[in-house]
Amino acid sequence: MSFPNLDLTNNETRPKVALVLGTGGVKALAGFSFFEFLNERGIPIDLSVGSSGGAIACAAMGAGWSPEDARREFFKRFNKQVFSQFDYRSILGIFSSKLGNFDKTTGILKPDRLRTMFQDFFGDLRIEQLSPRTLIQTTDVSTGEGVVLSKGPLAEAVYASCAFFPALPPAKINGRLLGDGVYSAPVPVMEATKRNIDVIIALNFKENLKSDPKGFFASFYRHIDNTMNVLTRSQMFMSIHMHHHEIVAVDVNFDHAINPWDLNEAQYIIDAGRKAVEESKMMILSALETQQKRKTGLLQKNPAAAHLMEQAVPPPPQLRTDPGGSSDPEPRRTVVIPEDKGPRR
Amino acid sequence: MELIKEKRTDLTFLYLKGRLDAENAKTLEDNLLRLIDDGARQLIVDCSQIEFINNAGLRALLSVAKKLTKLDGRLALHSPSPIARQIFNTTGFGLVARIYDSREEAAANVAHSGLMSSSDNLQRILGKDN
Repeated sequence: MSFPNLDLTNNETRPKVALVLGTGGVKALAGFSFFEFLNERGIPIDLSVGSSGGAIACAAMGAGWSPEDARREFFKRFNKQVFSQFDYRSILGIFSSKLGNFDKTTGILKPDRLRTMFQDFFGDLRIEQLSPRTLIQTTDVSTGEGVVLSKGPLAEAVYASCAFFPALPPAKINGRLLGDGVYSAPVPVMEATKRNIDVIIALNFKENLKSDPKGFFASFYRHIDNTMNVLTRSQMFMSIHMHHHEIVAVDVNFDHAINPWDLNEAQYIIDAGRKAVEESKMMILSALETQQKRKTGLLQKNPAAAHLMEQAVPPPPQLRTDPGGSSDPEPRRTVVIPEDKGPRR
Repeated sequence: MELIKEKRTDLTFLYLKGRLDAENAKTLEDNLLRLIDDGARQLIVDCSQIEFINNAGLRALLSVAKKLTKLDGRLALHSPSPIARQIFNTTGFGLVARIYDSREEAAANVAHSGLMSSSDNLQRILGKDN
């Protein structure tokens, strides 16, 4: 299937594109493949929105890293050391307030190494300096509300978006305690629907696990994952209902669990991203072409819809309405669209 | 997009074939709404031959479902093709739509909603008494 009419050179008529990357820890780095695909096709990205792991990938692309460099650096530095600094005072506080302290400002892990890693990556860059324009999804730990950051220090925003409470403490930004975006918008597609975007490509990084989880952490994470999948589908549906243009929802699938420090999974993650691109690229290009037609007025003028219907539908017999409940052992097969009554009002 | 209608007693069975996208979603919606205007209340749609469905298509089906709900009617989809199933799942459409694995299951659920009177009626509708 080719798209010969897709012209992305005219800024007035080309569809505006948003790439939305959901949560998924290091799995979200599979999203680099979609940036690569769009770049290779010369499709400009007007907005990227990321939550948690997706925020890391969006921030890296916005900061000007190439997908290849970003992959190499992230997979090199995302090691177990980053996640092995326990905050024993907080842990003891879980069991007794006399032994330690645990509240909404604390976490089981100390955040210093993760913060340092993001600082090394992003330096003093601010969100508003990124290109394409980038939004970072976080969650207000005090209220549960989603908070989308569009300006301010990038490294701290990315940390906040990844601060999976209670494993990591939230970040204090603009007077609010902000934590992992997974709790409010695992795939932050709704934020993109509020903007003037024609095609939203929304990536959901999913572990399709068949076996039952074993142990506390595996069970806890599975529960969170399942709950967030339902939240994602609800928000996706609401977005489709609200958004009058195209949302291409893509599942990037993984058949086993992947921890953030599983460096040996780097190639598997890259392959999963590339596979998802292959599976969804026709839908993406088709959506772009449709939106371009809409913007140039060709969609209304295009007789394709009517032609398709006419071709499939011979002049039908009279549509007959049976009396309710009547017996009709020989069903009649008729084709709808009996006559051109013009568009409904 | 091809839309074929088969009417048996209270149920209207529909068969969708091809791509359902922005270029024909409105036409489909118009025709389904026209069927409702003509008295159809229980629409059972076979989705096994859907090759692709996008947001516009989902919105068209949702619009029909809303209209039917207001009229105490029902829209039931069944046997989605792999691509349709994937899109229904990924987009969350499956959370709000009635999607069944088979035509029999869809018809049975519509029948058991109180809109049909007996299982005999259901058997007759499905043609199993022949």
